[in-house]
Amino acid sequence: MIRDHATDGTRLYETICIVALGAQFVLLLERGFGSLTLLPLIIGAAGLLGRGRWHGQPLVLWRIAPPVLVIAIAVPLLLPTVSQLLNLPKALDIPVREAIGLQDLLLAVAVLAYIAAHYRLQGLEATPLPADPRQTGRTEASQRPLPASEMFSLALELLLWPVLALLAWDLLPRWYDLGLDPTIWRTLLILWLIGMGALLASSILNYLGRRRMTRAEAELMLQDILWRETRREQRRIGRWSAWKNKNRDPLT
Amino acid sequence: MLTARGWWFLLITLTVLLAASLLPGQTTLAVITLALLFWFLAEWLRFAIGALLVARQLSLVRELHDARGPVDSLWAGRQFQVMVRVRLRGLLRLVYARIGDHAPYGIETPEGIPEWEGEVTPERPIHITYPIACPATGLVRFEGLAVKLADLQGFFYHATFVPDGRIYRVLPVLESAGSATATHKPHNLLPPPGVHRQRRPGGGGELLDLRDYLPGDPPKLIAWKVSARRDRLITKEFESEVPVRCTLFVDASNSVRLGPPGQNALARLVEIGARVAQSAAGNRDLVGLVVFDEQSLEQVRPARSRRHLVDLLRRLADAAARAPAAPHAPVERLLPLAYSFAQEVYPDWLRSDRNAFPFWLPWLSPPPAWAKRFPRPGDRLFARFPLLLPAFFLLGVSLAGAIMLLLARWLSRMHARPEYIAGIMALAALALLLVLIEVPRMLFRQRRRHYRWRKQLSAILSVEHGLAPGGLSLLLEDDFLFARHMQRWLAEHHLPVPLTLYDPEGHYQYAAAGKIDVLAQGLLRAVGKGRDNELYVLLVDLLELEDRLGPLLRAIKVAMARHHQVLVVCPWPPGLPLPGQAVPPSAGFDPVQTMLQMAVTDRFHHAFHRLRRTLARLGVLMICAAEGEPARLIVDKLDRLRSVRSGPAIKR
Repeated sequence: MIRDHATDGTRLYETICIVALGAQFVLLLERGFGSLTLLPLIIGAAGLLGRGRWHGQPLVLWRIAPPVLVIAIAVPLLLPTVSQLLNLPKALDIPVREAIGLQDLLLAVAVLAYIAAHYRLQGLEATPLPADPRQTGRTEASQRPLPASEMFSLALELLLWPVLALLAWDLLPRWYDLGLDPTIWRTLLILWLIGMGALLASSILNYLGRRRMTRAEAELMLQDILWRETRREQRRIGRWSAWKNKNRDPLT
Repeated sequence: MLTARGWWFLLITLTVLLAASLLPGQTTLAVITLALLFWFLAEWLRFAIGALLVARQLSLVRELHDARGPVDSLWAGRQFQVMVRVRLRGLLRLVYARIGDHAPYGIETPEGIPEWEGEVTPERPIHITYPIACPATGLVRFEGLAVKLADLQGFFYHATFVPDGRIYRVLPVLESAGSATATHKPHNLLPPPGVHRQRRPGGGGELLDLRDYLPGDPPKLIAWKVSARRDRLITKEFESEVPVRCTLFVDASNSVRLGPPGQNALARLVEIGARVAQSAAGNRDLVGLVVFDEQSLEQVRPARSRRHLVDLLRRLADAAARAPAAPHAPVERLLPLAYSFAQEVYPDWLRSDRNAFPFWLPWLSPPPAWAKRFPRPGDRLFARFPLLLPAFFLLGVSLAGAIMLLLARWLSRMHARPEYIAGIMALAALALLLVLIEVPRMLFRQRRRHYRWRKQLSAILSVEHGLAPGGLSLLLEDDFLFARHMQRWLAEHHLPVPLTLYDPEGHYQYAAAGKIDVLAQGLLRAVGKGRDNELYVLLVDLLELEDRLGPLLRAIKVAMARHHQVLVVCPWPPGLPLPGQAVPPSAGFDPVQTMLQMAVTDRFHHAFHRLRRTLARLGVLMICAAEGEPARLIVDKLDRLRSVRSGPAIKR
């Protein structure tokens, strides 16, 4: 069934995207990026407007807008530093800032709001599930209702993660270093903390998942472990059994 | 678990974060990308908890309804309503799920099966309702619910299955009363010599005798006219009712199971048997059933209660659901069907932490050709893959080296600038490296994929059929065992399997010659336990076995000698012209196709006529199941038997 009109959920997420884009534009303009502030605005607006379909599938522009927006935000922010490092002619006279301020927090909230709302909008317009390559034709719009808890959780996420990111970035450089360059040390520490955290969470979840396995699943798993450990011997026995059976009368 | 969208988002965010952390003065960008990363990881954690822990708490209750309420069995040709109620136990919720019922094979869903999607919470159970129709008799198995989980952004995806393997019988079509009664009233039939009549007083309709009235006789039995004539009370005595017994022998061997369930010869035989049983029960005749195949038979003695009729219909439905099994089943044709079914119904059993397949196994240790009964050239080549691969690489590297050398010489002769030479050489080296990597990957791609599927299916079959822990390896290496267990597994899930009619040596695999002995023994046993003048209806495929009928003919002779009647109903291959009909001209003129069709038709027609002649010599009528109305003919025969046994009343 194809929807003829936008639901409340779609309109709400569209509004969030537009407001977020506006906020990004204002914040970047305030920092003096000039015409470069148009880049994320154009990418974001094109992502919202490009909600057409080609042979029943959503347009690429509509699907890739959020990650491209991250790059579009990164370009004006990285340009002053890169031009300084490469001694390029200074097209922009923007001072490079180390200190963290409220503007950084607001910009992070705006970017997160756009990306989260845009992905959820895609989930409503089509489906959050990946496309099934066996099915051709138009992807039907999602029919799911929008619960209040979804908006509440989005609001909570928009407040929580940028604040945590701000605190984490602020706290990290003050830890002890091992004689490495502070930026390299900070990068390694971030990667290590994120990686170890994900590994720990993954291990705990896997353990809890295994405690909830059925008997048959547990048997499957143990059988697989045994097969991997004794594959060579089992293979030899299996192949001799196959050789014995190949001349056997199948009717017996 | 991570989708392409999730991978791209993670990759770009991490890359920008790295750039922000390595370059000075990128506080803003670092905070933005860190916030995105934290959000992504939180979504991952929430999704992982849902997929690994919460989804396990889903349970379902299924009910089938007709117009009158819930039912335990279905009936062919009728519509029913499937109602599924899904509940989530516990305290946590699933952010997004799409839930759909897995449609069993053999039913029709006129409106499709609706899928429910949205947030799943413990407070709100989910209801899925849809109509179904059952076109054919047999068994249908509802496997359970297919559940697809995702987060709201589409970063993560997990497919799981809530199993609920429940089998429902589809009983044969219910006949209305009197729909298969005899078509004509027999007149002036004399009982053949040797027929016994039951000359005992009873509650029948035929007058046996007149006697003097004794105190206590019911007034309705007084013959008033005779009493008036003789001037004393005379009582009538009636004959006992003569029950007619009929035993149906239904062939459920491999030869009649060929074809899609519901459209094969077995379905036709079951339909005829069900109609006869219902009509006979309507006339209060006793009907028994013997279902036999190549190895064994199940017997139900004749009876006539309502419960007995329902038991017969259930056994017929079970017989109709039997799937054909080939001794030489093609593993390559069964594998894709079995694996795609496993992906739908056993997605959790194919996960790499429970059912892993080392990627290097088909490269370094492919299955040997000497363990196969009929190895093909491709099998022999694939078995030598570990030797071919180094040879290919050696040859490839030598060739690549020679090409690079020639290219370098040619470029230096052209006096190209050194940086251009370096660039071109680098590109050429990259191209040759890609060729060296890609070409082996294209070799035996399907065999390597099938090897992986086979390993995973062997693990599943080993657990399901109780062969663990060593069964995995046996099934992986032995084609014979694997084909047998895979057919059994597909039959348990009521899926039709693709079969080859002839084995690699050219023998027809579905003649089922063993059923003749089984049928003969069953017939002799029924004759031994039988009473007077019974009717034995043999619903059996004999077209491929006309030269092996000795034991059956002897059993029939014994039955005829005991004054029983025997009738043979032979199923007919669908699509073939009936006996006596010519081959219709084919639409597009294809002489080979037409000749083949004529040859096959001739063969079957001749076999039918020869069988008919052989049985006619014994006084046995043989009819074609696809011709006319065999059920009505059988009921006709029963009715004649009843009339013959009743006979005209003898008056004193």
